[in-house]
Amino acid sequence: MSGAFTHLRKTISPLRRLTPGAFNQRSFLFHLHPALVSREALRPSSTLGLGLVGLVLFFILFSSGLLLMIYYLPTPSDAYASIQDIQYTVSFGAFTRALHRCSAHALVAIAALHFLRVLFCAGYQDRLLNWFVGLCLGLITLSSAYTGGLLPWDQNAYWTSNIVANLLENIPIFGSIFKSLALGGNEVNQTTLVRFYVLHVALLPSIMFGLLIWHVWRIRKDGGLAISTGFKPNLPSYPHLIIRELTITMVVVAVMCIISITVEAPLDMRADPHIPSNPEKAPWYFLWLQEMVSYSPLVGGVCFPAGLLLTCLILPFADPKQTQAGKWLLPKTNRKVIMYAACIATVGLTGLYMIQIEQSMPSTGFFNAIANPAAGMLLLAVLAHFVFAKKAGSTRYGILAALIILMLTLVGCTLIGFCRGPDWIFYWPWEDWSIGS
Amino acid sequence: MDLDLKTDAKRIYLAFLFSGVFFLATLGLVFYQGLYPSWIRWQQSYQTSMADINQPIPGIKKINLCSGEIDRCTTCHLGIHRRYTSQIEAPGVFRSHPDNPYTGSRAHQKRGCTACHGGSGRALVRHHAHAIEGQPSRDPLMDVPYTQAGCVHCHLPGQQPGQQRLARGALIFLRLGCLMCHPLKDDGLGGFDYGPNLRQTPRKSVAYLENSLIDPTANFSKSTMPSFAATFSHQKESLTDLIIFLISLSLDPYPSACTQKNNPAIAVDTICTSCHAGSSGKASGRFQHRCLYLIQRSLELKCSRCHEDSMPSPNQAKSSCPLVERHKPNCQVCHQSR
Repeated sequence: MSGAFTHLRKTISPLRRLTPGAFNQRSFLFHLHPALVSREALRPSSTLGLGLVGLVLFFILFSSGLLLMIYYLPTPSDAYASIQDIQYTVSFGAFTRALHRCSAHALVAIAALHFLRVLFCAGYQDRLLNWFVGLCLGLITLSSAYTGGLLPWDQNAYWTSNIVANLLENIPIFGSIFKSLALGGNEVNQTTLVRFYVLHVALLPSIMFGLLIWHVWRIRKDGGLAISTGFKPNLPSYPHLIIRELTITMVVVAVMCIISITVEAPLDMRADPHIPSNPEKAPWYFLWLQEMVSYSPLVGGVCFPAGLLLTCLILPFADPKQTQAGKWLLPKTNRKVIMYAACIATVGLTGLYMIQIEQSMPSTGFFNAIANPAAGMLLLAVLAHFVFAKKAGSTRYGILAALIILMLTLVGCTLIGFCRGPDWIFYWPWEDWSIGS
Repeated sequence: MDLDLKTDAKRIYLAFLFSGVFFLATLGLVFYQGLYPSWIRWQQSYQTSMADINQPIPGIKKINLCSGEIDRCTTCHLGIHRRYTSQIEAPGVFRSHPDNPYTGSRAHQKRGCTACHGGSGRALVRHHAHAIEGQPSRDPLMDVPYTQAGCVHCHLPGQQPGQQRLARGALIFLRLGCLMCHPLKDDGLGGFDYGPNLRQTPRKSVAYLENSLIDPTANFSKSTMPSFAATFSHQKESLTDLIIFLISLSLDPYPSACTQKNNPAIAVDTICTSCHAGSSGKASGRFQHRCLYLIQRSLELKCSRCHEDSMPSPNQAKSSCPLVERHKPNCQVCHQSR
């Protein structure tokens, strides 16, 4: 009897290799996945699944973007009409557009959260290269979102692109060159639209795709999901990892679909260079930049972002002994540093804004050059770097404190930016913009 | 350990199953919404209410406008072209369009809907097409009598019969001296820059314009514009006339290919060039722009009114023509000291 079973199994086994249900070790998936994973890595709290969510969003964006490309025409005279046609006459057009838009916003948000997760877990430790690739991916995500914003060619898109392009002008020496390189002239026009279109549909996605593959592949090369030193990988990837991933994928796609059914993508009036909208607000992920630039173009538009990026870049190099990679906020000093830095940032930013409100009108001069949010917080961050480095006895903590202060400034300025009304005047969210001060 | 593994596997398969059902349900919802857009439901309701059940659903209909735009309004407003017999009571959406009271024709079949009624012609969703989202920057739907504002797409105010209210509005605008503060300029020429340029502000709703005239601080608290409440307190009609004209200022003329003969830009050209022709024979310099004051005054300024056989030289006109003398102070309203 048992002989008959053995015979049967032997007959079936070559077939089993071909069935997709049997995720055996020969499956393509195992080029990216290890055969075994540790229980620690699978715990939801260790990665929050943010990287995977981001990856799924990228593929949603890629496929919905391809569908939109079929109907979209990148010329100022046709762009708006083609978007209207997509919105109203193309089957599933409104849905695809809404899906593309909300996934783009979600990707920016998820990428930021993923960055925070890796930062607070010290995931950059021993994984320098992937940290840098991740930072590049973050910048490309932002520029993709920005270039895509112009394509509908409505009022909102036109003036938003204008604001950010004008930020480029503030870069010392090369400012005007950068601006004309980005816009193909001095103002947003036909050339700009084609440039942004090419960047958005061809250049940025292909770079992003390549970097994404590298990013994911490096995880495998660097020792697997969510640094788990000290834990033995003892669970088979199939089903424990792969089923989890498929579940998250389906949930993300479903949630994005539901959002895009309920929230339709807005379409403003056709772009009119003669009618500036007031306030001209950048999208939320650039709102902090616009808020800082309203005080000081050079410091807010160039020094602050450069400082933030520089801090991110040098963080992994500083005193690597002081962290426990892959664990949330360890050792204990880490937690304390973050807490104190957060308190300092909150107090500092509130103080600076109180000084600014006291003045009521933005004034020039030396005092204002320091007391504006970007410059003040940048100085505070540098100061905190030295103080924390000395107190905690490690440059790592100094840089971490500076980074926390800069990031909280960014969040604070974004919140303030939401409250800005016409002429960049501050309004509480419950106040009507038509009531002037 | 083995047991633990098994419960974990069981749990993730269960989650996988649930999310799969959730995923499929969402896809179903997407397909339902995508395959039944609201215009199909309107057309089905038209079939039932008009007892046209046997007819196939007409699909998306459009009217190509001469301006290059598309009006899809007739996709839902299927009764526009119909002449109903008195027995059938058509619901509001499927109303028939009355004959044009001015020309007596049914010109709306060719000219589309948005030229007079505003709204977004390409849209097929009700609140987008009618632009009733409460956004002042959108192009909201207009009803009688405000549809007269749409005449300026092809005509000058007062040029054609049937635009009495629009022309009256233009005269009220001149008489009240609105031009003293609100320039009407296209290329940055002419007028004072005290108030906003009314040609370059987005379309406002009727309510917004009415508020602004009666109490200017209602919409913009820092406004220094005087209130015209007293002017219009006994003349509600005049207020409406002025608002019709104000709406017309934010509408663009259709491209010249559209209506060669009646295009306002060309009409201004022909009027002004009787005095102010450039080397090309077209209006030149600061007379290129569509200055309303000039249009009104230039009607009196045609040299051919007095000089039927020979045109006077510019210097001759400057020194002796009484009309030019009268014309001068009018220029200064817009052109300061020039």
